[in-house]
Amino acid sequence: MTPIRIESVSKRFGRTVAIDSVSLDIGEGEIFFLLGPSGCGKTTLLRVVAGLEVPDEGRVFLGETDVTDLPARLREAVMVFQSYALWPHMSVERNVSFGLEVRSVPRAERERSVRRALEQVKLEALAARKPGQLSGGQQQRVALARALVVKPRVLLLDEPLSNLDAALRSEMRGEIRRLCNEAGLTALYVTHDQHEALAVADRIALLDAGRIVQVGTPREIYTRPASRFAAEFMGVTNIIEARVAGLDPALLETALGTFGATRLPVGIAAGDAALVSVRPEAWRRGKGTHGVSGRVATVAFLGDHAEYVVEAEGGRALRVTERGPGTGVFEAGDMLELHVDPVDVLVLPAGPGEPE
Amino acid sequence: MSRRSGAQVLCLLLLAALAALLVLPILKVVASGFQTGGRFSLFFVINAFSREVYRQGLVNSLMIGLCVTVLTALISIPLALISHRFDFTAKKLFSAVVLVPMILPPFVGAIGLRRMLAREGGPVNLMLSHLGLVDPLNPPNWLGEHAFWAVVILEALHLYPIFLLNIQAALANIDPTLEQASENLGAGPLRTFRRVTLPLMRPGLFAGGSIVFIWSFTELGTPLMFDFNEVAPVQVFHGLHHIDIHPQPYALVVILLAVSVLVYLVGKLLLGRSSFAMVVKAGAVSRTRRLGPLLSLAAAAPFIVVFCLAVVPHAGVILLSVADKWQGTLLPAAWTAAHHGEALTSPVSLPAVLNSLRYASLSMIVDLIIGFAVAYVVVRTRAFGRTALDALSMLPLAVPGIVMAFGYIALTRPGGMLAALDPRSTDPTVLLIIAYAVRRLPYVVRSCAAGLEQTSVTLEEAARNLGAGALRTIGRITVPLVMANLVAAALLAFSFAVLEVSDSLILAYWPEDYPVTKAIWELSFRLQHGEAIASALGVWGMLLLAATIFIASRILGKRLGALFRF
Repeated sequence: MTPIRIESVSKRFGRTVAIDSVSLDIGEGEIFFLLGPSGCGKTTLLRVVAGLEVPDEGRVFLGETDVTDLPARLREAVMVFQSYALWPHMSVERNVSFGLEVRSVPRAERERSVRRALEQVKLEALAARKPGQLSGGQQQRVALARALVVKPRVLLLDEPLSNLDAALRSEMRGEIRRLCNEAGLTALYVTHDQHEALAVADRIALLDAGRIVQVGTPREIYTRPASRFAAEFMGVTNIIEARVAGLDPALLETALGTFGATRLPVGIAAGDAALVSVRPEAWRRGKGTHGVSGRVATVAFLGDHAEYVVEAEGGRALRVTERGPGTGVFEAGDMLELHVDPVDVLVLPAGPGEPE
Repeated sequence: MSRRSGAQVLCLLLLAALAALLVLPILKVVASGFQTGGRFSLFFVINAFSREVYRQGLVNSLMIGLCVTVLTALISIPLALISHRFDFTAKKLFSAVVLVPMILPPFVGAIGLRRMLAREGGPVNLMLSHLGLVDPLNPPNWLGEHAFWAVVILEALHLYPIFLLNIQAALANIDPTLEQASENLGAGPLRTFRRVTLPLMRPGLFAGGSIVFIWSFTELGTPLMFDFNEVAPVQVFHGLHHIDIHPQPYALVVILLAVSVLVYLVGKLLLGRSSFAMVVKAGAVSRTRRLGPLLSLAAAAPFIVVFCLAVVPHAGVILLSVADKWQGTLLPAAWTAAHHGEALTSPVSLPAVLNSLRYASLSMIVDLIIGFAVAYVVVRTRAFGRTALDALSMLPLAVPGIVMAFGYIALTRPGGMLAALDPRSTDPTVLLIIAYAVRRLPYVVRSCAAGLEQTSVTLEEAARNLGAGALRTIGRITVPLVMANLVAAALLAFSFAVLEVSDSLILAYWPEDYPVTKAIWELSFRLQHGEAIASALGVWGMLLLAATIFIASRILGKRLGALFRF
């Protein structure tokens, strides 16, 4: 149970800035996600915490200890590598017991711990195998067992599920969450997959180009993105240029008509430029107070829901998702009346957006 | 004939050709070793172990092989680890410079070292007595008393680049996260090296070690030059004169082959058993540590020391070739260009130079034709037997040169299958061309295969799609696309053939047939300027090989190293 504190850490590789003055406070036992597109610096930040990269500026604390200058091997911040980094010449059992050998754990206790760790990840039957003889999911679990068996202060996970197929991925998500919670571990988890982050995280830091865009719970980040980047990264959305027409009640004027909203970004004034973001599933059928009408351009019927592209007045293409029984009754060419509940209208600053 | 069956026929033809040129001589020499008067007998094999002189020769060879292997490992492992872990000023330059000693066959270097270590007035003794380390009136006779170690050191200084290239390749193959994972779990640098790095580089150790061992165990030229006769290859060479009445050398060669194979197999069992397929994640960051100026110097120091030691023989050869008077002084007292002139005009060396150019260029053409065909079949077709063809074409790397040479002797002796080619009664051109071509075939095959692998097959398919036949496609599309690799292969095949030792010494019998290397050997034992002229020839050989390797490395880039690996 060790909190992690990152204080204005920066890291450059040559002329590229990988991390640009990032600060984070991660609480004890929290499963904290670093989420962002590839190249946003999330893996570099993780490696800085592990001690595998030395930051150019800033400090890293594990608990009360400043570990910035501590060699990687003394940090007890154990990592699950994206490639798993299982040693191909050692059996599963040897891979898992390595960290205990390093810590001079007596043999009997070591064997017991290894067995328990392998049971935890349901691999006790494969202890004698070499990593090359395991499937991707099994290798992944060995990597987890190898990290957990040493009872690290914090667990670092670098895209641990990216090499698995979709079904296995969703199974392992729950598994990782269960293992971390059982051990009461503080975990720092890197991924580019927003579904993974939403499903597993206690909190998420969204990164772009080496900077933190937003920090919050999955729900906060999804429902109240702080910027256009956050809104678009967290899922499909319709972004519409707007101008603030009223503050109380909030009204936004767009080329598609007027939208009502319940919240406005801090510090925005009447007449300012803004962006309206409407998720595809937020559209309701029928005329509301502020409605949009359009013609169905394409239909994709996906069983439990249907996805439409609707061409609104002025040629603007809107993405619309319809859920529930009786979906998929519209065909290309049909006219549709749509409206949005003001609660579901997100108003974003027109600029790149600063963290809240 | 369909494309498929055409490739199959070509593959079988090549297999037959390699069987005849490569496997048959080996089988023949083995058979000859177990014969007395045309019948199966263990007489000569037993003789090799029971007669003191032969037993001592074998023991000495074995010890040379083992000592050279250990010494090359001790030289190259630290160099490889330093360049694997650290990034320092001029690292690329130093890494290239330590490979330079490869360019000179050690037996030419032996001439230089002989001069440097001469008892009376040799620069080494002069320097040591100047420093008060040896008695100037009774200086140590390095080559008389320590010929064994002179051979070992000279060969180690020549062969360590091969070892180095092999371990560097093995290290580069290790996914850096495997070492990081160990560090991340708390292991220190030593434990990480012992438990993770070392086991994972075992295949490289094995590959480098077995090439170096087989090479030094069966090396003929170097001990011959030092007049160190108590080693099996030299005994074999001297026994060549009366081989028809006293076929002992065959049995010795068979033993050399058997030990080579045995060491290879034992090594494979101990070290190379499992090679691990490692997928290095694209963009996996290897963390070479960037060193400051002072540490940079410390990291470069081993490279500089090794290089300086390794070029002592080369320096000796160069100095000898331009020295007019060199007796009792550290450096020659007077300089001359006469030896270089004589090297190109004297009645011994001029024909030898012309012979070598003829043998080497013809063998290069044979190599290019067979090598390209083998590479094409292996890389581009699915012909049955292509795996065997691939393995067979790499065999000359593992079979000692002396074994191949004796295979050709066995095949062409009176009453043998190819008696018409007996080098003692006819022009050895054909035999030498075959021998040279076979020994250099692996380099040509690898170079061509590298080119074919880099070239997209769709370019050839496009030509076929437009109606071109197989031959036209190869001629108009494939060959031009891999031309750079063909040029590199041709250069390497040519220069290595010019500087080939075992085949040249054994298969060229009469002075008018001598290639350059045998002329160097002959000249180096002549009084007067023989040694200097031999050195001048050696310098030209060095320049030829240096230029070749330089051009080939520009063409092949990183893949050049792959040619010298198992």
